[in-house]
Amino acid sequence: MPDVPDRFDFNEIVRETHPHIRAYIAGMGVPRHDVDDIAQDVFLELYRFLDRVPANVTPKQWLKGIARNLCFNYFRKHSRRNRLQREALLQLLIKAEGDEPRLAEGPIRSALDVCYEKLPQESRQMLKLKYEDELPSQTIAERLQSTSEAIRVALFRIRHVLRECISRSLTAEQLL
Amino acid sequence: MNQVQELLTRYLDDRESLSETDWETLIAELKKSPTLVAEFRDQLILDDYLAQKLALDRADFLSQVGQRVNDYDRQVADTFNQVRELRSLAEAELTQPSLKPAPSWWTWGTSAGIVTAAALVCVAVMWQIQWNQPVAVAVVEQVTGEVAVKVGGSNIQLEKGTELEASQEVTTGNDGSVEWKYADGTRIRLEANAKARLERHPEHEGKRVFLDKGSLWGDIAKQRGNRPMTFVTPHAEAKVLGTRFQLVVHEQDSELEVSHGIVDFSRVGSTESIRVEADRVSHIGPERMELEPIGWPRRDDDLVFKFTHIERADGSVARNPDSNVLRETPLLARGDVGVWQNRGLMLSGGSYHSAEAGEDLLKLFKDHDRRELTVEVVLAAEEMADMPMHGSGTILSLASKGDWGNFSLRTAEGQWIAMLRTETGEALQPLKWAIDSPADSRLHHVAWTYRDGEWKGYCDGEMFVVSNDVHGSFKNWIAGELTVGADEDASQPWRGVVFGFAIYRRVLSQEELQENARHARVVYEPFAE
Repeated sequence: MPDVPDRFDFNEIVRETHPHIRAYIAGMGVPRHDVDDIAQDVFLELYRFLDRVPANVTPKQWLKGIARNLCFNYFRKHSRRNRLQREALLQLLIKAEGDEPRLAEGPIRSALDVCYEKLPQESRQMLKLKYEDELPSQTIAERLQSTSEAIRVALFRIRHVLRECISRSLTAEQLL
Repeated sequence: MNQVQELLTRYLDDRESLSETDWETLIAELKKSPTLVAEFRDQLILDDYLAQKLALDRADFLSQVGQRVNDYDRQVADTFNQVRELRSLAEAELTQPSLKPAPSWWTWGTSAGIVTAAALVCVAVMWQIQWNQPVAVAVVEQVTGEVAVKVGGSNIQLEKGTELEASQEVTTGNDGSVEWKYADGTRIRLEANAKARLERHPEHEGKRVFLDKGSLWGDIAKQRGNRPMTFVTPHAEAKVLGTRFQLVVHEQDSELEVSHGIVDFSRVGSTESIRVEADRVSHIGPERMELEPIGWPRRDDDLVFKFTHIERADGSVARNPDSNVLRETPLLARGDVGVWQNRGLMLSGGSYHSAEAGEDLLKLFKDHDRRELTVEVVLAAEEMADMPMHGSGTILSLASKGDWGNFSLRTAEGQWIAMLRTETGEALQPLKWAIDSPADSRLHHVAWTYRDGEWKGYCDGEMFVVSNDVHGSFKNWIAGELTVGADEDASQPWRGVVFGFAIYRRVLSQEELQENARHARVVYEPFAE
């Protein structure tokens, strides 16, 4: 590991920032199953070049910059179909990031834990099937005797409810 | 829902689902509305936070980063050492004392050329040596019983900490099992009477295991999308990106049971494949290619009571002695008990009981004069290492008030103990059998079967004891409750979790019990951790 200023502890930076950086990468449209691969590359870059993080930039800002570049590389390498559209979408999503910090900042994970518990049992069951069991919407629909379209919409709404709850929770925390 | 929202939900569900036209529409609409883009981005971010929270293969991120850093450090150190060795070699050549006259410029040039050529040869030789060196692919974490690795034609007993190398063949004996771990955290447990070989995939260098016979358990860390871990049996191949499963080689086919994630299971030498999701089992052989849900227990015929799930109406049923149909028969809480993972019975000094089940069982066995019985329980004991009698108590009993009862399953002094009342009275000895420890907090499937003159005790599908001293029917059974976690009078409390149990009016074969033990682990092990 290169000599680095005392202000940086690599392990601590990884521990504190990894949920945000991973979600940040996902927020650029990277498929969920590739998010952690890119995030690992991001943190490896930090490990290699920790001594080059400018003094006026926080490690998290630096990591986001690296993540953006790696996401561009990712879409160039992986998007055989619709590459131009995917890059256009990436540009739009990056632009949206500048408007408001929103969900990639703050203690989101703890807020999510609280908000998740407030969801009705049916919503949690659907999230479990989707994220824990990693079932496709079609299979969830078969299990719940619904349609895949209805499942997609329901998941969209559940995430919307969670987003509102998390925003309220973070705002309340800032006011304290 | 309007068209753009429909496109967004589809994209969120599957990033490859949009057509060219869909993409154009979506981008055009998003360009018009920054608010929509922001909301879409929040959806993507929340999608990932939820996966971080709930998906098993996302939980190990910190150790994956640690592994990447270690790999990087090792690579840097290797390169440094190789360069240093070559430099020393070249320096030694150039500083060798010579008895010959001082060399001319031509001689210097020739020498330098020779040294350079020698260095290049060294690099090539070192590369070749390194290339041909066996590469450690996994480390042995646990060994039980007879487990051998083939080294140069000899079989050597494996030990904890041994590094397994590519192309090595591992075999387990009747009582053997071995668990090995890869650098990324992937764990494989090879069960008894099995043979496997560790390899790397020739095309993409992903991890590969050949399972020639027996069974193995896999808990696979997330693999890179283009480098799935593959398992090859004589009948089929399983491609895994991150999941938990069991793979069993039978004579006629191979069986894959998935408890978490998704596995692509295909017939060897064919492009036909089955996508096996969690809680599904698939069989593939020359004559067979099937997919079905995993249930526990596997069969309901001659079942008289089963408990499988605390929160489902059909999770606790008894056979109606009059109609012969299974009907809902709830277990009621008594004392210090709870529910484990919304599923199992957590016993902390109290018990669950059912008087209705007791009545039904009495009629079914005593009045209908049945002469065969099987009891099987899936459980994990509470770990209490500081208590000398930890793990002791009554796990399941019928009409037991601190005595024999009609039957019971207990633990004491590191053994499973079955008790049974038959016509020959109570003067018989209880059936006792032992494993390493019934109180080791791991998930166990414990069973015993009885028919006149043949009483057998099993643990995890293996038969441990048989007694031929017990005879007779159940004509002398008495009335009482079916009780889980203690005797009916609350004595002999046992601490732990009961995930499921089943009682049958026939003797289940060892094959059936082995199958139920395997399926119990697929169904309940994720909840036991």
